[in-house]
Amino acid sequence: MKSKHISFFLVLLMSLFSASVSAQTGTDWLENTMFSSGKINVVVAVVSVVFVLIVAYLISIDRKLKKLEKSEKNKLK
Amino acid sequence: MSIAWWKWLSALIVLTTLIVGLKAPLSPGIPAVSPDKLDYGATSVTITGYNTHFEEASSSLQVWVKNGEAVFCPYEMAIVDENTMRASFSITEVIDDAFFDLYVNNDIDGTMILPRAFLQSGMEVGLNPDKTEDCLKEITVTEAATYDFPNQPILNETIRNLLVHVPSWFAMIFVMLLSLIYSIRFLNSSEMAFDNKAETAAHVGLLFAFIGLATGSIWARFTWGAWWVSDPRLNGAALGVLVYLAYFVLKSSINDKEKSARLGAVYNIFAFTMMILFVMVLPRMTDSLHPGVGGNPAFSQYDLDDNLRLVFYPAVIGWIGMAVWIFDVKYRITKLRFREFFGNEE
Repeated sequence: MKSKHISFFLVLLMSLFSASVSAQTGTDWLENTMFSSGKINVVVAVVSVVFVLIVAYLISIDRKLKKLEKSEKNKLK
Repeated sequence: MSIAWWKWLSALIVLTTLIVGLKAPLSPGIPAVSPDKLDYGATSVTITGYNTHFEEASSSLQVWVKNGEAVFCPYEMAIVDENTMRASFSITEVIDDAFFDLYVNNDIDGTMILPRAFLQSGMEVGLNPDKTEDCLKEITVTEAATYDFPNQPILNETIRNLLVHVPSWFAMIFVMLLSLIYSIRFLNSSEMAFDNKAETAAHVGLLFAFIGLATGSIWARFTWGAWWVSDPRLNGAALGVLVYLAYFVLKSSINDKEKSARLGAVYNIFAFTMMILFVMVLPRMTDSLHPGVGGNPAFSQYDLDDNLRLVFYPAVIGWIGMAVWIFDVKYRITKLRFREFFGNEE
């Protein structure tokens, strides 16, 4: 049970830092990440990019709204 | 940082669960056998494994089929590669059941089961089946050393969908609950702000309901074989969505803002009750293909093991956070618009 939990955090760490796992250069780095284990890391990268961009968009809307709310408040004063 | 901490947190949680959900390996399993029939007499079958170690653990490899109480072992076995092996069975006995369950066991992969792997062909199925000798050696049950997701027959790799499909429904129910609470608060206070909040929350809830319906439909196509099956759970979810669509129809059909808000709030209480009835209560009273319904408990040890739970619960929290975030943004837009038309009434 203990070792399972440790390996869960390993998978988690590996996935979060999979880009920096291998400190080797150029193609070696690609071989070790993107081309390994059935290229699943490519899917992970694509899904992550989609999600991160959606969140970034949401953040930008949120910020614009905040500005709008501020100017609206000043107008009322 | 102008964005609230919980928004960052929920986005990070969802991203992490997406990555771990895709990266965690699937535990070893037996997805297919060919042919899927056992003839009277001798039959040779090819057993296809997934993430298995037939070759590496060849010394401890055991295969058997079970029919009722009877156990049959192959008279010949050959390993082709790590994920392929052949076994020859000879069965002439009277059997109990038309189907044989397949068991494969070795020291690395543990015991893998494919229920109803083979259909009998030309055998005698009777009430008094022949007794068979117990051909099994001692079986060692090894617990997987690595972090992996359960490999279930039919589901296979699609088990990962659980981390997206189910949290979207949880998020939908959470925002609908928010909507209900705002509707009740509107009825208590008659403040239009609460009605705006309730309508916005129901709108976001519908978005997540559609995500749940769409993902469920794709998942159903490749596990149950159809985009939509007439199943109490599925039809219940569709009815729940319709009930909320009617909420928007009702609200937009009344010109008087005050009257529309009051009627909408009362209807919303009814809509939430109906949605919970359709989605959670009624499906549980009949049989269904969908887990969490009838005889298929969604949270049993077979459907959701500890490894899956470790990602599933954070995913639910993250998705709820994202839903509340979208609700927050949408409501602030509504508020600005509302002020434009009616001044600062709140």
